[in-house]
Amino acid sequence: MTKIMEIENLEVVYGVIKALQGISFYIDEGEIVTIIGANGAGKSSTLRAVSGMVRPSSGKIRFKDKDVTNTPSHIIARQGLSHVPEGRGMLTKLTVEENLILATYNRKDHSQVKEDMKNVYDQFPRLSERKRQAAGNLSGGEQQMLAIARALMTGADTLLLDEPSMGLAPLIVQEIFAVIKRINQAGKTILLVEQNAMTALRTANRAYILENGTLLKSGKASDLISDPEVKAAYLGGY
Amino acid sequence: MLKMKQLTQPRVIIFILSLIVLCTLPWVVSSFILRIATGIMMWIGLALSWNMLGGYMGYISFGHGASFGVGAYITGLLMMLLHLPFFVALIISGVITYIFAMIVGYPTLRLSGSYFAIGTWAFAEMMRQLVLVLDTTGGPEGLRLPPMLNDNFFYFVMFGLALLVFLTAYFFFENSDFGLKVKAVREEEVAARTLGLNTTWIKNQVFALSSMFAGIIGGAFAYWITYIHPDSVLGPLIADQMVIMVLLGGIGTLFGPVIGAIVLYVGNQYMLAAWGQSSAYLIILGLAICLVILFLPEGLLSLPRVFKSTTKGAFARLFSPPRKTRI
Ligand SMILES: Nc1ncnc2c1ncn2[C@@H]1O[C@H](COP(=O)(O)OP(=O)(O)OP(=O)(O)O)[C@@H](O)[C@H]1O
Ligand SMILES: [Mg+2]
Repeated sequence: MTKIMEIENLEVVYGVIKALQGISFYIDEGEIVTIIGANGAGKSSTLRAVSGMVRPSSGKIRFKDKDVTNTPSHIIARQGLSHVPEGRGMLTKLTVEENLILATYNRKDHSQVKEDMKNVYDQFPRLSERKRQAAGNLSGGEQQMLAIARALMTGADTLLLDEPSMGLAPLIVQEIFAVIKRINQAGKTILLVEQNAMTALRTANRAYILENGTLLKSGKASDLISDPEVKAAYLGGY
Repeated sequence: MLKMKQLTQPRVIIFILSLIVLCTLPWVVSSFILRIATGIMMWIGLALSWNMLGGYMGYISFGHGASFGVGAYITGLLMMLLHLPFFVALIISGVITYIFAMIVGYPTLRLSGSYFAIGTWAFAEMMRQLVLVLDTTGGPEGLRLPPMLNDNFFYFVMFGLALLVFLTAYFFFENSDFGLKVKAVREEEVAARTLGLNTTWIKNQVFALSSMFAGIIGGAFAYWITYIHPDSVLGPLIADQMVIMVLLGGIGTLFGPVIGAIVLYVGNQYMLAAWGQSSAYLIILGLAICLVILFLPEGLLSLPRVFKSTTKGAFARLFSPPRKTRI
């Protein structure tokens, strides 16, 4: 296994609030890794630091053997890392198609872009039906699909997903996680951040538990599911 | 490349016909009307330039008048001090306002929303104060340019500039990859960056481009009016009017600024003729903003659509029980 991403002692500070107090983790190529934690644990801050959206106050981020700790976010995105932000980051007044096209502007493999676009529409038929609709008019589940489809259209090989299940009905959540599994099987590496611990642990290969800006536990997702402490704190005790 | 098929589209034919009509205007209307038409052209250009920044990109600037004033003063100074020909001076002021906007944009574009509005307003005010105390600009005395009395000349200059800004808006903002990127910045800057767009670069370019057009138009205005003064070209009312014209016509659209500029400028001139220089215009202006924001957030351009849906709505309400008030 080759490490595609390695984070060392990552610290993020907002004014006086220390959101991350030096966390370290890694992701192997082709894995689904999940970080689970309660509100305010620092999950989004982790993703924001990794994708260059906020500057870490200390620590190191390596992506594909390059130090990207202080690289601007659009450059990181062009190196194959796509961050699907919390709340999905819809360009609400633009159409579904425009949302997807925008993701391809930094790519140079134009013939592959066409193929990817076709694949994405095949994979998400509901987006294909709604090509010319404003993204803001889509349902929550469809918006999450679009956000993931858009990340795929950037040509990224690594996706950071911030709470894809947020605000969605259980059935739609299942659908979204099936999509995540599928794109992982197609070769994408995934870092998934979730409050929905059970579903996340069932989907991921490995997991980290984040609490108040520090990593409490880590291990194989299947082990953590049966860990009594994790059960009590994150899986509602059963 | 323009193809023959595109050239025969109805809207293209209408566009070309209106251009021909507008080109013959100096020979069919009185010189009074021609001066009004020149003013309309100027404000169409200004409103369209503001709309690039405020409409397509969503950065509401209250300092756009500074670019207009800087362009006016640079053109004036180049003509008076260096005796440059008008068009040379105009092009140089375009370049200088572009660079000036790059510098001003660097700090202000880090702000957004109302902070950006306040930041740009403060910059504009700073420029006015600066010009007021500088000797080269004539301070509060203002600056006189070589007189040039040719109504037709200025009509065609303003017409040409308005057309230039219009075509830029059409080709670079309405129908291009760049325009889509600009709209992405407006919708959700963070998301745009996650898609690999260099939003900082995009924002700087749009700010500089729209300022450059305002600067060039300011230069043409200075030569037209031959006497400029810090209050006449750097006053806050210039930016305010651009904002209101765009909001009135329809923000983020191609024709909204055109319609807003025509309505507001004609209204202003009419009031000037009827009541002379009075503050009534400002009061009506304020009222107009309130009404448009409250009842017509998408501007006059959306009037036909709004009218259709409200008349339908009125019929529906006529035959349905009264609704409970929503809290
Ligand atoms: N922009 C900000 N300014 C100040 N404090 C912030 C900011 N963003 C996050 N924080 C704080 O940092 C801490 C971690 O926030 P973060 O958003 O990373 O948590 P999270 O795990 O994603 O939570 P949630 O599940 O609610 O999304 C919280 O205490 C939060 O209040
Ligand atoms: Mg979060």
